[in-house]
Amino acid sequence: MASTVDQTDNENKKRLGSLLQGWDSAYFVNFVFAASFSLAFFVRFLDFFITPTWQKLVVFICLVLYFFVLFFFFVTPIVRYLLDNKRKLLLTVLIGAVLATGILFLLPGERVPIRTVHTMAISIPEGSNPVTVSALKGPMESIIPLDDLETTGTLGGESVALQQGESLSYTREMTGGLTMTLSAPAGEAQATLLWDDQQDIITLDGEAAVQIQTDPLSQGTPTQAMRLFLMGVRVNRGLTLFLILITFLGGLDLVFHNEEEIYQINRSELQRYLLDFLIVGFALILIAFGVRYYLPESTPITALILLPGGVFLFLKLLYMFMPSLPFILIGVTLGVNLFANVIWFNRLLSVPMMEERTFNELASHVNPDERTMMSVGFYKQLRGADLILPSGSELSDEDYIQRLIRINYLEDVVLADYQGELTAQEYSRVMAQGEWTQWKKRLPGSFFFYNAEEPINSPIAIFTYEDDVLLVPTEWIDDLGLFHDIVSD
Amino acid sequence: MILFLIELYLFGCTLAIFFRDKLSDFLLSVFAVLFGFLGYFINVLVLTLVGVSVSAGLLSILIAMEIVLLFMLHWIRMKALLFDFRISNLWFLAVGVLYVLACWAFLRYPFVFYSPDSLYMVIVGRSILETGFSQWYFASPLLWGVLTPILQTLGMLFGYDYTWFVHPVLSLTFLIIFSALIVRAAKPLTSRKAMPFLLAGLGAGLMLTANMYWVAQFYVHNNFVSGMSLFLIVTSLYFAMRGEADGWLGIAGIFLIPFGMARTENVIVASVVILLTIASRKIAHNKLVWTFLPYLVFQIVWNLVVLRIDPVAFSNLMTTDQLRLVTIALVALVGFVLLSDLPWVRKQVLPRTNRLLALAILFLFVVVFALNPSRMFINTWQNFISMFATGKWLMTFWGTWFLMLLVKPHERRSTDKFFDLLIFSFFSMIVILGAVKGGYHRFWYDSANRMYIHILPIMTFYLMLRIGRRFSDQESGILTLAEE
Repeated sequence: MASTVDQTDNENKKRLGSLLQGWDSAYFVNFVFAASFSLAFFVRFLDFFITPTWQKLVVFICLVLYFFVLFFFFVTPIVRYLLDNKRKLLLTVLIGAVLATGILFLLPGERVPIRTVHTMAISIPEGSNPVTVSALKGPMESIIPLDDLETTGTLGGESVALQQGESLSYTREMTGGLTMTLSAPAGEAQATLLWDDQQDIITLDGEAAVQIQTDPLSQGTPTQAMRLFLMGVRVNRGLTLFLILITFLGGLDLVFHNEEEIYQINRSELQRYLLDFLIVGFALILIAFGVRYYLPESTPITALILLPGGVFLFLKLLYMFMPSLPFILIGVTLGVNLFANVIWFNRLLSVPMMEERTFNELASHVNPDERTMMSVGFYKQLRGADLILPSGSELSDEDYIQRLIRINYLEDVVLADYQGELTAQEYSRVMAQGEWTQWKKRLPGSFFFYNAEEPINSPIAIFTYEDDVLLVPTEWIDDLGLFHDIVSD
Repeated sequence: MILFLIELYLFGCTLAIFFRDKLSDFLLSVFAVLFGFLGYFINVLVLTLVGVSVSAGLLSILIAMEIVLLFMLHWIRMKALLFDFRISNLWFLAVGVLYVLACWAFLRYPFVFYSPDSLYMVIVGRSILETGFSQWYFASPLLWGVLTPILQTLGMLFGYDYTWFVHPVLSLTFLIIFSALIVRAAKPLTSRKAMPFLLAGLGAGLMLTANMYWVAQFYVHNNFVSGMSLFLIVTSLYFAMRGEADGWLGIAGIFLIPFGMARTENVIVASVVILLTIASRKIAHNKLVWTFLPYLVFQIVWNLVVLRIDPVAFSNLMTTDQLRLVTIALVALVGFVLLSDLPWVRKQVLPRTNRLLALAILFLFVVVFALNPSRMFINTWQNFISMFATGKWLMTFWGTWFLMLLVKPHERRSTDKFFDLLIFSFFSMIVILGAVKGGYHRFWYDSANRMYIHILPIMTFYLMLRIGRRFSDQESGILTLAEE
């Protein structure tokens, strides 16, 4: 049995070794195909232009690695077949593809958010009321300091006021567009917005502010390097299309028309060994694509998504030569965990010791909002109750009421016009009645419930005194000397 | 209080001795701690169901009577031999002393982890003591089961506002069992004496150093007890499939009950475990029936009870219609368990059950993604983010997944299929449930993130087993022969 195990290991090592042997032009074509396809895929689906530079490199390497391995197994037989038997076809399609790519160049370029120098200018025509520009943000919601603007207007704390004839401009290299809010506090106004070479007239009605978003796909004034790169991207797209086409046609020809050769996966044994990498890599690419597609506003982390695939392949190869790798990996995991526990102790969850061991203390530690805190403290009385709140107080806020209704299944909440805030004398008098159950608030102060142990049949009215909140069933309001006509009614 | 806890341990011991001729005394003595709490749970559940008001005095008397009854049963079973003393019986004493010390320490030093859910569970426990199964505030058994709320009542019976000491005691017990089971599983693989202990230590370390697992041990919630029960069910079935003593089937059958009672979704995982066990065809039909049928009947009856008690509460994410559906599925599963010995089923269905299960899950995946691709993708993405970044697991899942993918045994066994499919089904269930329950988020308290506690011990156990097999000196060959 032991020899079988060793034999399997040795066979895998041999297979891996064979990966480096017998390189021919088919593998070279595969590599070019993988690189070309990776770049095209990256640009088209994974937000190439808004990905930070170091991530671009990581993503590209991971994609090339994955697609090269994939093509190595599945495309090599087709490429080899074409190279050996269909050189004329290959040449014809190549010429066709070059021509097609040339035609593609005649068409308008693809509009993608590239890193380029954008210029934005706002001016106020003569005769217009003043316009205020505020909340100026760059791509990915980054705040633009007003000091960076060139303006003849007046800089306020968080806005720029532009009178007629005044203007504002901003120039910066960035990927994407700007957002800002325009308003006309003095009445109807107009503003001319120039974004790169596109001009818009914005009419403001003097009431609602208008949020403006400039075209993130505008090409602006790209640098020479970016222009060359864009051209390269377009050439690459043509190349990818050609390679896909030739592979597809070659594959069809090999499978359906060639009787002498059959399609066989290249190095099928090795492919079985690396199948898990192919599956994991595919899943990661799918996830990276999904994140950009469904969460386009999120910060690009494609490199972090794809990198584990590359690491996995590296570890898989390393494992062949280092059987103790699992122990090393567990050691690394434990080491990092322990280290993180030490250095991040204040950012991690901790288990505190309870001093009082009361439910109220536990609730205070849990730190829910005050509505939940009150509900948890007096859940029996509040479930299905009618609640009376003083209108105009903080407690009458719509959010507050809605939460109370949901959590307690309140029957009804009535906003009544009564003096909910008690005077010091009233507070002392009612507290002296002595039948109060105290429940500490999360914030300073306490909730008090009158006769909490007795069943109640009346609505509960809420009174406040400084930080304290008193929940008083209305049937006891008179007993407490809290005479309030509206509440009593 | 301590005396009552000792009584619970004694109850656990009397239950454990029924397995004496099948399992080791050390393991049984540790299991006795869990059996004790389980006994408490069942007693309170049954008393509440029949409308008897629960009190410390009543429970003490009742459990004392049950201890006597169990002893008598054992005595009859052993043909009038009360106790066949062996030196290994001292484990019961040693573990008992450790248990009492742990109870005392955790009672005295109340370390608790909490969230709003904990408050709701304490209140459910209080309602059960005060009004039986008639009033629900904030939460109800419809979603969170009754196991944790009933365990919460333990402290309340003795005047405490809530119960903080049971979870740490359970987690300490679990940690011992977890390590012992890894050692037991790895021992036949190697003649290197230190290897099983090394694997057990590394496995426990992987879990304990994860911040989320650490706090879960003190967390007043149902995730840790779910994870513990699921681990005990799955590993017991694994040992049974490996051809070890039938006593493991008894252990699995027992822990299916707290697992099903801890959360409603657990019933789905329990059903998958039952299906996979039947599909393995490693256990005789009559044994399968005795292992699974009691639990399934118990669960169906309990679901019917929940449907009758108007379980409407604020935090419910499940509806009674969904519970009805689950109950119907359980009835169908009872039918499958009973009919699984028919020649046609044995020949045509069982060999394909694993594949059918995987296909069914994939089909469900496709359906839920097709119905709402954006929501399902974002849900799944949040699951990934919480597992690998924000869920306070630190590097544990990174290490575990990398190793699970890397370390593959040279030869695949039927138990590998059992574990692989279980883990696949579990994570699939989380994603699919997202379509029913609502959106997941990336914070540590997200329900999916907390549910990872259910599967992590199983993944770790399986991983250690795989590593152990890679380092096996196959000359001993015991395991291979037993399994193949």
